[in-house]
Amino acid sequence: MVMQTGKRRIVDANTVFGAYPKRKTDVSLKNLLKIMDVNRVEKALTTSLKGAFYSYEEGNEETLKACRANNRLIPLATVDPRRFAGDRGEIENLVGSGFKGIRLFKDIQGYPLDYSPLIEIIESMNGLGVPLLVPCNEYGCITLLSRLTAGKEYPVIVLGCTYSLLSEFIVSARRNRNLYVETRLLTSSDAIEVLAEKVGADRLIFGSGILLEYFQASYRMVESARIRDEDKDLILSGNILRIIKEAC
Amino acid sequence: MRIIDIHAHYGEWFFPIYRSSKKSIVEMMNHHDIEAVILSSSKAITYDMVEGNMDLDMILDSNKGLYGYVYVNPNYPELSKAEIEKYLANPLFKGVGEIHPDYSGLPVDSEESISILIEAAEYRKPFLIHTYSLENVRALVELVKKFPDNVFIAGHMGGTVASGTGLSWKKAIDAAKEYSNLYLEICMTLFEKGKLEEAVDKAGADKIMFGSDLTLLNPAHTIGMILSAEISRNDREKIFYLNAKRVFRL
Repeated sequence: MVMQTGKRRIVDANTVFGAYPKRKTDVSLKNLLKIMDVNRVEKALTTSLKGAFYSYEEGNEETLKACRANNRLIPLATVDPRRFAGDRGEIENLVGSGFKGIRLFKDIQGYPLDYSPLIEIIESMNGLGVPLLVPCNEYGCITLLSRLTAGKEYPVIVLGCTYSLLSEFIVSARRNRNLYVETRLLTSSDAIEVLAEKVGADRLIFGSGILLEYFQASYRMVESARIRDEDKDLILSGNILRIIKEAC
Repeated sequence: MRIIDIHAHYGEWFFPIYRSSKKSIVEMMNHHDIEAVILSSSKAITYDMVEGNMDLDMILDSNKGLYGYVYVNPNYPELSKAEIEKYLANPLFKGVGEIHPDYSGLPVDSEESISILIEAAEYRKPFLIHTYSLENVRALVELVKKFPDNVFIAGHMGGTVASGTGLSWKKAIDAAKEYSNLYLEICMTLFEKGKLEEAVDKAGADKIMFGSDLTLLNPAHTIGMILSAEISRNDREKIFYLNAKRVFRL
């Protein structure tokens, strides 16, 4: 079966590489580039899993190195709030060193959203102009995230929003213009259409979760959605490029 | 690409999902090249078994490829047996399911469940069982052993565990390899890369069937997973179509 990614520009906002300790799977950088090629992904925002599982400082170095070696990769830094001691300069330095956003791994690291080190990170990012990407996979998480980031001057992308959190995102996004949602787990039969109608396609960001997930599972939900072609273009590349201020 | 969807639903959900009518289902089938779906009632699963089965019965239509499962609730064994008697001989009802231990609160190997399954087993139609944990898989395996002449399908192939280790789907795959009457159905919210390849490798493509969880889930999601998986074209055809045609005699 051929991969049906057509001629649309694809920028994947959710990719990872490195090593995965939980089960045997190939999450090498080489495989990330291969899967991007197979699926005609033009660029990918990426983060080393070393920062999720081991040391965020070492992980960030690995991410920068990989992205400097390949201009299709856009670096996202991560910070582990369990280790972050509140040095605001640290976040500023990450952005200064070339990272295009801060991605959290709350789902892997297990801390709550109402957590002082995390709140400090949220405060520290104000004025830096880069997005914060936050996994939200339980009731109330998006609501709290929306409160914590209301009035801030940067975009906040909710990762892993499922059908069970859809109404929470819709209501929160209407209150907080900073909020965006990644499409990867918007798996209900009409989620993309519902969101495009209720909050606008300009609030949806395509992410696939590769290398831990299958690319086409998330891609086909956007490509087959009954929305305008212009909106698909926004979701698959336009919105994230605008957010990270990459040249279109 | 021909597709038969063996795990679908008819009815409403308590989430912002508005594409749930018979007309919407047929539109989605056409949109995704799905030739036939086997539906269970979301109302029967989440609320009222009798009313849900009745709603479903009214929309089944072989000309449109709409087939059904009879839903049974082990909290109401006698009523469930009556539902089986009412519907299961009807050729439009292709099996019993999606038996859902999380909604009923009873494991599928409970005394109540088994008393119902004894009645249903006589019809020799497949059972679709929801599995989304190690405990769900364990209970299903007990049924598989107890009813060796009946086909069982592990809905969601064991599901996903929060740890990210894939333990529950790995357990389901191992069980499908061990028991000839256990099949795997693969839809779920989170598709951990490699799970379909592992299922094909260990249990064999002959034991895997396409399900979407429509209208709760978007068929594009599972179709995409199968297209992304590193498996052969022949295996894809078995998973999308041939196995279901054989098992459900469609």
